[in-house]
Amino acid sequence: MKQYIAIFIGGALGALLRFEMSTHIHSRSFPAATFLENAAGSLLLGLITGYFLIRAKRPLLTAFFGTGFCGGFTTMSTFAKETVFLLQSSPAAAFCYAAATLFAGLALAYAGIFWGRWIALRIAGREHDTP
Amino acid sequence: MTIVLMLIAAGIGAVLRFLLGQTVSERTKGLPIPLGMAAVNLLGSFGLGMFTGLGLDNPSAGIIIATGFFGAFTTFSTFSIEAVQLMMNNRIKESLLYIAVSAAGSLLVFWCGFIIISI
Repeated sequence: MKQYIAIFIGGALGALLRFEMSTHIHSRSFPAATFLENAAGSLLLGLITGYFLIRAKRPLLTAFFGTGFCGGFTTMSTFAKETVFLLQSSPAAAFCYAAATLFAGLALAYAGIFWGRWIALRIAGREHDTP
Repeated sequence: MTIVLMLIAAGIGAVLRFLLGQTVSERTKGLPIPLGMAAVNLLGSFGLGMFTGLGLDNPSAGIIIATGFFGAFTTFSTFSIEAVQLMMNNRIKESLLYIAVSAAGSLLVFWCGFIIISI
């Protein structure tokens, strides 16, 4: 039950931040807000994933920040909607938007996994040095 | 009030994503690509297509259902991580297939949902 509550609250907070960003970031030709949300969320989930590859699993923390927050903050359905609508007005812009989102999401997820592992290894090293 | 309902819709969307993702993942274990989140993203994009096709004038409904529910139900971050993890395990073909199914598939089903309701 605790896990569901963590996902519920994390998901709601992630969606709230996404909503706030989408109302404050405006750009005419490019859905910049969704792009930034999906890129930043991929980096954060990468960090969490990489960190817990090394450190002992914390299921409640992962449920809140990973499944809840990152999951609620990023979105595939809005990405699909924006790309399909852009396709009708400017196919070139739609292609750039989709390619940029995929490239940034994958690259930042990859960087995040390595960064998270690096942080976890440093913490483990420090714990090892100080008895 | 709209924001409160949006938060509740998003929370429900996130929990449903977890439950459906888990169920599908367990039943499709032997397959080369992870289908749990792909199924969630396809279903959510289809749903948002149908909702968008209704063409409601009410901005609150859009915030609650589109931004809140479908926004939180579908996810991009888990998709990125799963695609990268396939690549890191040297399963390049599977990773490209997964990206095609999830990303191109979501565009396609959004459009299908939109068209079905619009006609």
